[in-house]
Parts: sequence; C-alpha cells; structure tokens
Amino acid sequence: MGKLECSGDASLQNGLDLVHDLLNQIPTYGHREVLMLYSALSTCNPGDIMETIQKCKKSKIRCSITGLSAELYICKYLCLETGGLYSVALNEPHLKELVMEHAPPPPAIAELAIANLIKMGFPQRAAEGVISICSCHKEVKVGGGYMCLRCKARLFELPTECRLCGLILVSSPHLARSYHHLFPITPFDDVSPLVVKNPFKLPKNCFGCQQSLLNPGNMLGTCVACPKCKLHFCLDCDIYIHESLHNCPGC
Amino acid sequence: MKFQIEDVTVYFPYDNIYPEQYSYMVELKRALDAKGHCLLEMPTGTGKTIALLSLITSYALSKPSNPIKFIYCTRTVHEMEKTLAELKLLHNYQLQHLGPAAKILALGLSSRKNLCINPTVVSAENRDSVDAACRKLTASWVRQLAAENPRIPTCSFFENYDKFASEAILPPGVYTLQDLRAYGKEKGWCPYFLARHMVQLANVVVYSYQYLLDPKVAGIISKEMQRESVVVFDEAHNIDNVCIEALSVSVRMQTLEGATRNINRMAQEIDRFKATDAGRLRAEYNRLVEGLAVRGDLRNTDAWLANPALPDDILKEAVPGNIRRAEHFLSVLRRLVQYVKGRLQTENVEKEGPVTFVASVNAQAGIDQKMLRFCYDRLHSLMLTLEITDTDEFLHIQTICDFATLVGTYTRGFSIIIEPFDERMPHIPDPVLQLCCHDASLAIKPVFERFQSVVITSGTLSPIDLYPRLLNFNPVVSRSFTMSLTRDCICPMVLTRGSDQLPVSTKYDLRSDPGVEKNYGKLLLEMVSVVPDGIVCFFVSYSYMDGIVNSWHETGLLKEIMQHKLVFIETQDVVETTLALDNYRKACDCGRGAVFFSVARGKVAEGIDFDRHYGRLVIMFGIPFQYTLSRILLARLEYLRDTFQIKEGDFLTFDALRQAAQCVGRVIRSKADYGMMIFADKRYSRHDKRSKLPGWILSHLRDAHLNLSTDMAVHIAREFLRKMAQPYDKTGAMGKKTLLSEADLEKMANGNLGETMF
Repeated sequence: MGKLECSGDASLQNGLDLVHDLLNQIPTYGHREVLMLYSALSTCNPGDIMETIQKCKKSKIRCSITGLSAELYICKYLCLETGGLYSVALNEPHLKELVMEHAPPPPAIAELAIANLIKMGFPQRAAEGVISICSCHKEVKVGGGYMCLRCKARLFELPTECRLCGLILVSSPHLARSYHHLFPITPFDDVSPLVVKNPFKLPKNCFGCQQSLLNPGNMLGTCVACPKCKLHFCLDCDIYIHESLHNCPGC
Repeated sequence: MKFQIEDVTVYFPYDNIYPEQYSYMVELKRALDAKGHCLLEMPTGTGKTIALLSLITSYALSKPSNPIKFIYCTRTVHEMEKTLAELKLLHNYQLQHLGPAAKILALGLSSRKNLCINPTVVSAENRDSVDAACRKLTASWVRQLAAENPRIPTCSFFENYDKFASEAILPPGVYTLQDLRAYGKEKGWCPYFLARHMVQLANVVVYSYQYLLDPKVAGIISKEMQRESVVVFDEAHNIDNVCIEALSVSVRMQTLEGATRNINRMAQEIDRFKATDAGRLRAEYNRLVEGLAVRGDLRNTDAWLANPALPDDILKEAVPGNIRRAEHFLSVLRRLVQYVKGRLQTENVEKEGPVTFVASVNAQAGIDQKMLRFCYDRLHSLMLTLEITDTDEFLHIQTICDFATLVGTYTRGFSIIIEPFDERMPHIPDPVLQLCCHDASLAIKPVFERFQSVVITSGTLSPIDLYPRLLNFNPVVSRSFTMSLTRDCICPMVLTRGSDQLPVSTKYDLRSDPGVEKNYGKLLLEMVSVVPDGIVCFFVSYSYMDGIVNSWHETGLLKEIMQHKLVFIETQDVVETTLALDNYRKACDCGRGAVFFSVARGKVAEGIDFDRHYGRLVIMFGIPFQYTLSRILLARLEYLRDTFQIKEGDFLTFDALRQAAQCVGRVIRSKADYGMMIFADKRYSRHDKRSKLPGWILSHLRDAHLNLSTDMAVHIAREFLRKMAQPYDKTGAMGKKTLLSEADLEKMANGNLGETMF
C-alpha cells in the first residue's frame, strides 16, 4: 500500500472506468456500489464522461460521492443518475458522519434481483489440534479456523469465498443480519384513538411486552399496529423492533 | 392556484407562490386601478415574468366590459420567446379553470427576418436586405405589373393572404414566432403581414422596445393601439439609453458618399420617368400642392419607415413650395450633403445646438428650417413615386433625411458634435457628425401620454427615484422588493486590496500599475483553485481586458490559471463569442471547469444567464464607468445638470453601478441556485458608491464582507461553498415560510395584509 502514489489531475472518468471493469464481474444478484471521496474541484477526463456515466447506470452501479471541498455539478449529476448520495463535508466530525452513513447497505429493489439458485456452504469450525496450511496466510497454522465443505481447505474467517473451489461460505447469522438491511421491516401504522370503532374489541395489552396500553382513566393511549398481522404494540416496543430486532414478533 | 387580491381573482399556474411575488402583484394591481404608471424593482430569479403575466391577464379577465390590451416589451427576441412560452402555460391553466371564456389571442411580433417563410427572401444576409427583398415582391406597383405580366415574381404567401383579406385571422391562442411561421406555412399565408394586422386585434402583444419607442417604427406598427392598454417594459434598467439612441443619428463619410450615389441614381430615375411617364411626377406635384404630403391610399406593404420625429411634432401642413418638384428637392439634398461634407472636414472638435446648426445651414446652403423638417416626408413620397424597391441601397440618403428632419424639428435636448478623429486613435482621420439626443424623456413621452398604465420593471433599478426624473413622468407606485430566502444564497463581497495589502482599482491612473494587475491576477488564481465549475469575470472595457490579459500572460499567471480551469474570452465578433459560450458551458457540464472573461457593457452582460453551475462566482473587476472623455457623454451630462439638476458625478456613478449590478445579477436565476459576487475595487467600499447597488444585493452584504483582502475572500468563499453544498429545504419549514400555498394566502388576506412579510 505504501508504494502506491498518485500524480496529475483528478479524473472521475478514469476512476469510473476502473470501477466499472471491476464491478462487472460481480453477479447480478449482488449490489454494485462505489463510494468516492472527492476533494478536487475539477476532473480531467480522457473522453466523454457522460458516456461513462450511462455505462455505469446501465450496469446498475450505484455511485455515491462524499466531497471534501465544494459541490461539483458533475458529481451531483453522477449521483442523481445512478441513484447514489452526494454530500459535502463541513468539517472532520461531519465527514466521519457522512462516510458512516454509507455503512448500512441500501434496501434492495425487488425488480432488479433475478431469481437464482446460489450454492452456499455453512461450515462448522474445523477440528482443533489439526495441522494444516491456511489458504489465506499461506503458512502452517494449528487448530482454529473453518473447513470448506467441498474441498476441505482451511479458512481463517467467514464470510468468504473458498480460494480453491470458489464456493461461497457464510454463517447463518451473517445472512440474517444482511437480510434485514435488504428487506427492511415496514413501518408500523399509527392507531389513533378517534378511529376506534368498537372500543371493546381492542387488545388491552401490547403484544410484545404485555404491558397495558390503556392510559389512566381507561382511555386508549398512543400505540401502533403492524400492517400485516394487525397486532398492536406500544411505542417502546416499536422502537426496539425497528432498531434492534428487525423482525415483527407477530409475523 | 387561485386567489383573490381585493376584487380580482388571480389565476397562477403553480401551486405555490413566493411572498414577494404576491406583494408585487398587489402593488401592480394598485397601479392598474389608479390607471397610472409604476416603477417596480424585483430581484432576478423570483418569477417576475409569470407574476406580471398572471396578474395582468387575470385583471383583464375580471373586467370583461372594458377589455384591456396588454403590450409586453422585451429587449431581445430570446426574451420574447421565453415570455410567450410562460404565457402558453398560463393560458392553458386559465382555460382549465374558466373554460372558453378565457380564450385570448396572444402573439409576438418581430422583423421580417424572423417571420418570413418565403425561402428566397429569408435567405438574405441581414435585416435590411430581407426587407428589401420582401418589398421587391410585395410593393403595390410590382403587384400591379404582375397582374398583367405573369413572369414578374411575387410572393405567393402574400398573395394568398391578400386574397382572404379580412377573413385571414388567427384563431385564439398563444403564438410564438415559431408558431406563427408554422401557421403561415400551413395556410399558405404570410406570417409577417398577418401578425402585423392581428396586432391591432390581439389581447396580448409581445414585441421589442423599438416598436414603441423608436418613432420610425412605432409610427407604423403601434399607431392604432387603443388607449386602454397596459404597457410593460421588462428589464428596463437601460431604457433611458434606448430612448436616446432612438432619436440619435450618426453621419460618416461613407454615409455621405452613399447618399451622393443615391441622389445620382434618383436623378437618373427621374430623367427616365420624364421621358416615359411624365404623368406620374406631375400627379405627385399636384398632390403636394393640394397639401397631401403622402398618398392617402398607402397600402401597409408600402410603408416601410415612418417619420423619425415624434408624432406630435410632425407638421401637418403642406410641403413647402421649393421642394415640391422632384428636381428641386434633389438639388436641395445635394446642397445639404455638400454642406455636411464641408463641416466634416474640420480640424477641431465642434459642438453646437440644433438652432445654430440650422442657422448656418440656412446661411451657407440656403436651406431653411421648414425645408429641413419636410425632408423625410418628401423623400418618402419621392421614393414611392419612383417605385424604388431595393431600399437597402438607399439607407444612406434616408439617414441624411432623418438627420435633417430631426435637426429641423427639435431645438432643445439635442447637440450636434463633430469629431475629426476618435480620441483614442488621433492619427487616423475618421470624421463623424453625430446628432445626439440627451433627453430620454422625449422618445418615451408619447408612450406615457397615450397609454393608461405603463409599468417599468427590472431587477436593478437603483436608485429608483432617478428614473422618474430622467424620463419625466410621475409614477403612482414606485417600490423595490427584496428576495425572501431560507438560506443566504448570495454572498456579495467587496474586495479592496490584494494579499500584499495594496489597494486595487481600475481608476484611470492605476490602470497600468503592475502591482494592481498582479493583485487582480492573484485574486483570480486563488479563486480558481477554490471555486468549482464556472467563474465569470467582467472587465470595464475591451481595451482594459486586452491589456490586463496580456500582462497576465507575460508574467505567467495566465498559465497557472489555465492549469485549474479553461479560459474563454468574449470578443466583439458575435460568432466567436457564441462559440466561446458554447464551449464554456460544455466545460462546466463535464466537470473540467472554466473561466469566462467578458466585458461589462458587452452583449454577454446584457443577455446571457450564468445560472447554477455555470456561474458559481462572478468577479467585477473595477467599476464600469463609461468612457468619461467622450464628447457625447459630456454633452449629455451638461444637459442633465442644466435641465434636471442631476450632478455629473451622481449620474456617472448611477450608470456605472447599474451596469455592475446587472452583470452580477446574471448568476442567480432561482432560489435553489447560489453564487458569490466579488466587487473588486477599492472605491466600492465608499458609501456613496455602495449605496447605489440594488437592495437585494445590499441586504446580503454584511459588514464583515466589506473591505476584504484576497486571502480573507478565499476563506469566506470556502466556507460559503461548503455551507451551500448541504441539502436545501425548498419550503423553509422552520421559521419564515418562503413558499406560500393557497391556504396561507387566505390566512394572510384575512389577517393583516403584506406588512408583516417585509
């Protein structure tokens, strides 16, 4: 890494061309995204950058840019066309905030994902005390690690792609965690006490924590309901469900 | 949206309205109710055009018993097209709400060059040759001959139009110039003559200033406009200059030589007629004796220019006896041309009033004032009698006759200035005689008197109380509006010194100071490395721009600037400038970034917008004063001092700052846009100069931004750009609302009106 240097003018088109070539190898069910940290105020392009932008748009590469100096029209245009996010940092903490905003993956767009069967492996931890050559460090290691299910190669960490046979290896918590980013839980609807048709039919307790939903005085307090299973939850459970659990207990 | 202003229901084609648009409409309505004139200044980018159009058309709709005609005057054809496009949108909206009762006829009118569809005519190079080519096909004598001899070419479109005569009308709707051409092609009618005829019957007419202010053109086109009309002059900050130019004439040696050629040609024609058809000349003579200067049955195709004097000042008498015969008139013209040639051969600069000039013409050439006054009419009649069709050849003699008529008609407010050479190039003899009008109120007086309401509006009308004095009228409403903003999207700065703390200025004695040039260069270099996309720089004159760019090139500064952005320059050639602008826009679009060097009084500053990323920063290098040693300017200043008690310094500063504000206002076209403006001259920090900037710039000019040096300006620029790059909330949900909906307006109307907004 220390040997890489840069010189000359910044070129957005060259960067996009490079990214396009790299990301084209990703299968279509995967997200293709690029985040650029751009501090130059111009871009010196060898050809027509509009063509490159259209190319990226067609390949469904989502380009986001975080600028460090000022707002450039071409960056804004690029982000608009590819559906990305363009923001300019005011100072250092703001820059950190903006970059971290890109960490959670964007929701998947259902039409873009073509249904496909993908072979995946769920390896267990390899036997302790076995001596084998680790495929990523290329040296002998004792114990620990995972074993590829097809070719029995030793792997250091998950998720990864096996070096020898190309099988994608994950563990189930990984899948569960990424699932709720790609298909986020729908926001619950507000239940207004005025729309109540039959006050006797309403549940008196929140389905999640079983606490009472009624205010002192037997009036219905503020609560929310899941649009799919129509169960009622209090506001605390609503926050917990949407931020930590990512799963409706009723569905 | 639809809302009420007192008794008028206003139809506005968008769902939201800015508070200043609303206030603008309220003031405008008050002026219309009072049937008086008004002066309104509203900043650029606040939707002035649509506010005007929507209020005036709604006002006309609300009073169906007294139909009001709406005349909208613009400066360029491009603005005309933009206005008509907005009107179309508005009209569709009104039709939706009111149905067929809201149908109006609106059209634009321009010269033959823009409206002709006859391919042989429209391919001529310039406007005058197109006119001449049209006349060759449509003059009444040509058509008479063609009726007998089918081999003589005529214009098929005109013939078709003429056949239908009174049935050739435009159905109601909004017609841009393109629409008119398309309609003409479809029906096979001439769009130009159709438009000219329909202008009398239309509800809304959009044309250029000249059609109302220049007597030569107004006499034909706008003669019969009814009194109950509202006239709007948009972008009218330079209207006093337009009025002055309409009544000024300039005569050079080429004009005189051309005039001599024309006179010889006319003499030949007269001899020819004497030989073949003497009756025609005699008929003309008889008519003139009876006191009819012009043929009464003049077809509208034959009138090409009207009398250059104002309609009230044209003598309605018989043409004097000594120019009734064609040969006598020609000899009078020859003597006049000879006299002017003699005057042009002077060694010194001469300046005199029209009365003295007329007296000396009388003494030396024997032509008295009355003869001079009738020159124009007599020439017009003679050219009709001689059936001259190629009028573009006869422009020179026409200029001379315009000159003669104006000199004979007016005694005050004009000067004649003869300069043997241009001051800046004393070795090249280039004599020119100029009849300069100094009084802007002369050309616009008939407009104020004839029409019930005249609205003068622009983005930079400061100081607003100078205009009523210059144009000599009394407005009933005179107001200046500011922009309501959720965020300060403009950042004006006054820069008075460079990084080395030396003051910068374009004052005459500092112009060639290398320190000043270096500081200006360093300013541009620093800005180029901090501001993205496009930067526009305005210089005070072409010669100054040439000089400073040369010195930047020699010191290598230009090269450093070009490393950051590409550089484009405006030249005096239209084609080159258009090409430069095109490439400038391309460079800004693709992210390469560009700088555009332009001149404060050039074509670009008048008409081209640099909105959004095309203009993130505009630098006004210096104060764009006019060339103060020009004789014409000095004469005008003297006249203003004597007649209106306006001090020379005040007027010059006013003129310079209005030009600077106009240049700088090119950068903001909407509220989501943002831009910075740097006024780079130490004189801007003085209160008398700064206070003449328009209110919407001054309200954003904080004290911390006055008297900056280059490094401070760079720091402010960086912060501003970062702040503006953050996402923008259009409606301004917090604090003051800047986008009002119908509900908001109703609440406002029921509560207190307007005063709480500003």
